[in-house]
Amino acid sequence: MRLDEFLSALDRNPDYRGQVVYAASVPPHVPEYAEIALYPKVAAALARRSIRLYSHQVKAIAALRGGHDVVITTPTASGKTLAFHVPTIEWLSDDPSATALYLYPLKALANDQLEKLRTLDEECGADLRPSTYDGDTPQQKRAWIRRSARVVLTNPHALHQYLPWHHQWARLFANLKLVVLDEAHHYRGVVGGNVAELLSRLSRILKHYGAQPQFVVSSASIANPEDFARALTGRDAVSVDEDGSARGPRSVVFWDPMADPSSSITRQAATLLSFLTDQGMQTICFARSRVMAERIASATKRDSATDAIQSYRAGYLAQERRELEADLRDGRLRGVVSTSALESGIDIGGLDAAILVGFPGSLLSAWQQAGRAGRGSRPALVIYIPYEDPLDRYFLRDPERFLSYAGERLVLPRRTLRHRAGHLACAAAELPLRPEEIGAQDGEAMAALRESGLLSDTPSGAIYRGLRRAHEAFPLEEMAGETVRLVCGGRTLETMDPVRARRDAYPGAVLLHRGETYVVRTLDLTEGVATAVCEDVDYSTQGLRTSAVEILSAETTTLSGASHVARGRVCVTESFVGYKAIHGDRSVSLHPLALPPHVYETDGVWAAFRDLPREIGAAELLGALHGAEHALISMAPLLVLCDAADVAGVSTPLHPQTGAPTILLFDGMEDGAGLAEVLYDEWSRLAAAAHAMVSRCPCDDGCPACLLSPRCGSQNQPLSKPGAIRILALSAPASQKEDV
Amino acid sequence: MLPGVQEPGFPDTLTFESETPFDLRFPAVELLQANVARMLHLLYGIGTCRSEQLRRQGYETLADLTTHPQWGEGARALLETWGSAWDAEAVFRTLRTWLPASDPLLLAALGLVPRERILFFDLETLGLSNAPIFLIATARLTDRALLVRQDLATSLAGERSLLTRFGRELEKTTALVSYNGKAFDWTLLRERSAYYSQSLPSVEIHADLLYHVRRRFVGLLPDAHLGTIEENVLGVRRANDLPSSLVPSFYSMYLETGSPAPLRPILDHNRQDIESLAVLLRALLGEATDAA
Repeated sequence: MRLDEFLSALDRNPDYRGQVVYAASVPPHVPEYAEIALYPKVAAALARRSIRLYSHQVKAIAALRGGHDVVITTPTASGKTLAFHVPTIEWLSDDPSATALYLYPLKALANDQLEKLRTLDEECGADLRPSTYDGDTPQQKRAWIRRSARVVLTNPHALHQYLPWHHQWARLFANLKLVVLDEAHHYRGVVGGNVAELLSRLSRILKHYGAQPQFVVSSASIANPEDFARALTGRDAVSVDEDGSARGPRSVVFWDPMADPSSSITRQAATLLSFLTDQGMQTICFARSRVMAERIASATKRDSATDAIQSYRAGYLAQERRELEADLRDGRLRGVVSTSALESGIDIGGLDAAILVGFPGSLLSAWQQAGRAGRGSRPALVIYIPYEDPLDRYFLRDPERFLSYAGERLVLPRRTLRHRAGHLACAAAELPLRPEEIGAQDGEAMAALRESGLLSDTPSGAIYRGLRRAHEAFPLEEMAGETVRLVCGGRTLETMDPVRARRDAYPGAVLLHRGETYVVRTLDLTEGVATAVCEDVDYSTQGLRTSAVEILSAETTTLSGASHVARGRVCVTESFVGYKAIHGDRSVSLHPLALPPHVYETDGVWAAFRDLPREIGAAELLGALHGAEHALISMAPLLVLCDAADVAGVSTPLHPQTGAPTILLFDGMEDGAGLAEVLYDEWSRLAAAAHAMVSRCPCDDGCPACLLSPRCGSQNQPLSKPGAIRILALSAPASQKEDV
Repeated sequence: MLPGVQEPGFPDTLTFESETPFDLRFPAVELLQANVARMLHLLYGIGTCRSEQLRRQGYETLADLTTHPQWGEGARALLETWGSAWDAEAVFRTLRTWLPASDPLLLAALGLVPRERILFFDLETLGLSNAPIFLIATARLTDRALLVRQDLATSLAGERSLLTRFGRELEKTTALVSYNGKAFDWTLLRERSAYYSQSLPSVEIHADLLYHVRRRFVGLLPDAHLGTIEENVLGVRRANDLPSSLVPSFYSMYLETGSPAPLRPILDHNRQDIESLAVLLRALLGEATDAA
């Protein structure tokens, strides 16, 4: 549907309250094709599907043929996978013993690709025998796959477990020609750091078997593809980032839910979704959380009589997901409400419209979600509905920021002692660790391992002698391993990772699953089980956390405006103190929680204000710092690929270690994720963006659109908007203030 | 200190040898050959019905079958692979195709192997997988005795030597005897050999007594642990035995403190294990000849 058609249809709709504040059309992208000589069977297979190769696919294939590594970051649905399937087919056809390894962040993504690869393989007669190999692979198939499969699809978590048995994979490894890291944008932060270590161990083993494969990193668009690829694989890659694929015209509509204060965001999203599907547009609606996805889906039942709109979440069982995906591809399912699980990777075909309910945390994700709308050359529609959140609403005031996105930086953290030691121990358990393989910077980690009796030195090298298997003692559990099961009446409803469990599945939490309401009764993090009962309640819940932070060491400091900014290591004690029950959009009651505090070390960045002007009185100082802290956190995702929830903060009028009023931000996860480092580097820009955001907000005393944080453990008290503006102004150098 | 010998060429190890009188008789080779020769169903295409049929027609043995119009060629080919002297490995390969691993005949057929080419073995390791091996016990039969050798690594650097030494033994071996060796010990040996990039000679015949014990005693005993078998079947009682679950931590203790005190109980436990292995084989063979 074209933009003008949509807007007039809206005008005619009695529920419309003028929420559209801005709309822009992105012109269609004319395809750029390119030619390259292909094997006859491959060319025939492509011709049968009416596929002509785009310029970026050809560039990638040529670079791989030329012996280079490639990092390809063209948008979703640009045919990235063909860029590495073609060389795989060609090389494995030429050499009957050659093999390839494809890594996916999640099993579901690997399974999705398997069918496609199988079909392509059959048509090209390459005898690839593509197989997934992971925890779900039946025992009786495993030996065969290890012996005969030529393309193995797996995930980093599984690969980590299999590396010590590399001799069983000798055939695959010795003949490996290509390693593909697909959906690699998942490998950021701590997860990415661990995958990078895993890959260096894999490379070491490949060297042992005499293999020298090429690497392909395939990811969503980011600002630093070459750096990212190098950080991940340790090797240089040719960047293929210019998109040659065809794109129909796309319109982006910015929708302000506040224009109709009587209707909740859920309601407005549901109405819009039903409206679009009624107009015959197959639509996907992205929600920020499982709970929201369920709510929106249920709300559409009111407007639409049919079962035509369903919800989709990664926590659903595999069979249910397959059915939903197929129904989308075939057009049977007209509308779906999903979390970011359907952002990329899984093939659901191109849809007619995408609604983004809430900013998904990064522009990378936002554009991946938007990218789901687009069917050939037909006009696609994207509607953005912000939450009452500073970052969300920021784009209503500055839509160009959204539209002119050029990519965010993906960072991998500096290696910490704990992670390094874990990977060294695993490496030693895979092959004796020879002195020349140990870098000077690993001296401390090696000493720690020897002292704790995990390593013994022998003439062959350092060997692992712990009583517990290294790969179990040091798991890659930070990987998207969903390890806490939500159980009701003995049945597993869904699974989630431990961090989410603390945040969303604490005792007393209200959860929605398949339209049913559940209340969590117990949470046992050691066992990985949360139990819940099915109960009809009319409120929802939001967890609250507070943190106490101790500065362990400052690594470097600088001046930003009139504030002293430093970064270093901090020790955090995080307590989930309670949760609030919410009716509609209003908080009703507060409940304490007795979860054990989570103590961990991480990276932090802090700003100390040594000489405060007299206008900021002592009484309002804490409110000013606190407000500034919230504003800074909410702007962080603009600068580095993270969620505002990944960064936490504390502020105090007198910090014992800095001796001054201080705002402290830190990476909200064990050992840090590389975020604080970027925030330190970009502090001036961060402060300027926060300052601009708060000072331009039309509210009087601070609102959810500028200062209020839904996660604040101290109930957003105290907060001072004028004070926050002054503090932020102090921290942003004059030159940065206007231009952000 | 321990009364072991430091063998030259195998650094960081100590070797302990002992010889105990031991009498083990296999069924006579002629008897074995006669029994196997009657197994017409070893030929692909002949099952119980057909072999009954053929027997009624006068074909009693595989040799008889060589004159059969339909099955003659197959029978001749099979006997050829076995050779006129009945090569043990070839015969076992055939038997294994048609018999379950727990079939008593597979134990009796060890009688086809020259006595000195049978090797009993048992490992002690620091863990169940991806863990260093620090003690390898092997035993061989002489006419009247059991020769036991234990190679102990005095530091983890010795593991390599243990593997090399064991490899040498394998070259002189046609048949292995172990307890749960197929699932555990042999897999670990392959793993650790790969870890040091050392080759491990393969051995065609491997009699894992656990299979036979399960078949023979299932339902009669609470479990198939070697200790349970010793007590209930072999009449062996260990005094002050170190439980196997403690072996790894005892060795770790030795590594950490340097004191050899924890090693004595480990060596005793391990030697008892391998002696029981030989006694168990004898007991099972007794059962097998009875059954046959």
